[in-house]
Amino acid sequence: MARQLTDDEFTELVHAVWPGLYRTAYLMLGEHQLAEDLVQTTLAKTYASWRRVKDPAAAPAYARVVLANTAASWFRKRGWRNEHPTEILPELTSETDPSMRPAVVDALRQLPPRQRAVVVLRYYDDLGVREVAQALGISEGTVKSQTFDALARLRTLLGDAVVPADLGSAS
Amino acid sequence: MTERLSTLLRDEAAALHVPAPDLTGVLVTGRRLRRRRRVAAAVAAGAVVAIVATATVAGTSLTGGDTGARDIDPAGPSTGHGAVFTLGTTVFYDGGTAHVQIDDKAIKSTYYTSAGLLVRHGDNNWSDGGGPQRYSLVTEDGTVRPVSVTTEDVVPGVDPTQPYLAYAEVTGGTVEVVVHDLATDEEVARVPVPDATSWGGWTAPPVALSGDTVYVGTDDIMRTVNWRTGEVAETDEIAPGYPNIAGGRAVEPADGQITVVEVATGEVLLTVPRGESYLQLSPDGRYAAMNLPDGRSVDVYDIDAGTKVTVDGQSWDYGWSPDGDLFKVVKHRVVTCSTSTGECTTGDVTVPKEGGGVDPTDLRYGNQTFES
Repeated sequence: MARQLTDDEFTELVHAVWPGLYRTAYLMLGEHQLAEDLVQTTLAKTYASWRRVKDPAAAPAYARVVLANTAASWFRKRGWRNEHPTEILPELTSETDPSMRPAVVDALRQLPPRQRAVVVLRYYDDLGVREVAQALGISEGTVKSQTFDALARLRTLLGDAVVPADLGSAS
Repeated sequence: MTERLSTLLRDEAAALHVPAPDLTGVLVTGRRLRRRRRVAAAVAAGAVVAIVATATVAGTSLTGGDTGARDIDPAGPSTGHGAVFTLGTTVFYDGGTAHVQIDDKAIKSTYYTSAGLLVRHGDNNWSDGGGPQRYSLVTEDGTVRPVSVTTEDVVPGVDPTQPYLAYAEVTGGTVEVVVHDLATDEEVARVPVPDATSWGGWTAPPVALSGDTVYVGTDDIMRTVNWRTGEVAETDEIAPGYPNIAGGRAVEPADGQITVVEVATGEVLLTVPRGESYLQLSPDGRYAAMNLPDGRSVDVYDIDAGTKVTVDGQSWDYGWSPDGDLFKVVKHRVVTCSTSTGECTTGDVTVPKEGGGVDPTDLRYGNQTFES
């Protein structure tokens, strides 16, 4: 029978993964309180499955997948966008004064939730298309199309220097 | 190509002020989800003590205030590993390597609880209209302890993380929800549900147990009973009727799709296209299995992780082991399929042809029920 992991081991996990998960959550959601709620929910779910975690080394990656999946479930909730409206920023082009451009997190807020999650998981957490698809419960084709649309929008907001115009389908 | 974007994201993240982890909050939320929630059985004192988590962030450990709320050590076959099934009146557990006999004519169904494997048995293996339903508990050392509960034609409920049996009965024309502690063999709650007046087929409404909540499957709406506080309420998060809830989760159809929802919050945890099959939840609600249209394979979703594996066969060919794997008995051998990898292995144990009782060849997988 496999050894059951202890609460002390879970506590160690929480301290180890909390900062990284929080940063991912904040970039995804753009709000500190929501980010904290998301990480807390994620770790509660991980704790719930703790007796079944057979390899402690795999637990951080497991928690990250749970976080993405939980975020995706939040996004699917009816009215998510209405409950969490994004601030309307002016359209910016590459000709705009760079000093007037929004910070990257402000630009992320202009994206629909799923696109934001795709961008964060791909370009912050360095997940591949398949991993993102699995984490968010969407097809790989959807990941590619959402990435393409998101980068096009970010190019408008952040400029070609950040998101080059010759970027392909982002596959 | 996107290095600049990645750099900006990392710079932004690095500059964030990260709050300290809320260990207490994690713990409380986890217990509210009824995934790790436990009530410590104070067996020595002959009492049950509900413990509330008091872990502190400063202590950087859950051990201090959490001592009383730690998991009970595995108390029976239903908290262990491997296949659990019955053949006639014989209960096989630990992947079929151990077995015990139930002293009755037939086994109707078994239920995973934290106190052990709860066996419902009686004069025949019928679930409906088969006479008195008696109960026994199989504990870790293979002891069979009779449970001092006899029900009529009802659908009981258990939560695999808890040592309780919940059921409903009608007393003086009023539906009452009863909660029985299997570890101490004592009734711990009896709550009237006065508005419950109509339900399908049984002598009392079917129930499901999840955490402190007993779901009462009446015809007009799903009712909830907090058995600790006695509060009776209604919920529209799940449809009325039979409360098919596992680990606080239920399968609900939605707009041409099938979803798994957290019944306490309505949160949608999994959405899959509606196929020709239905979604079958594991006893703890962590996994969901759905047959594929090819008729030869099953997708098994890890709902929390958002991953899935595919195994051969059809979902109804399998039972769920207490630790969330799939298993089946084929040609007197136990085949176990990992829900983490999809890999299946065949055990060495030879399952006999007959197991005693009035229907000695009746094979039933653990935690499968046959209500209708």
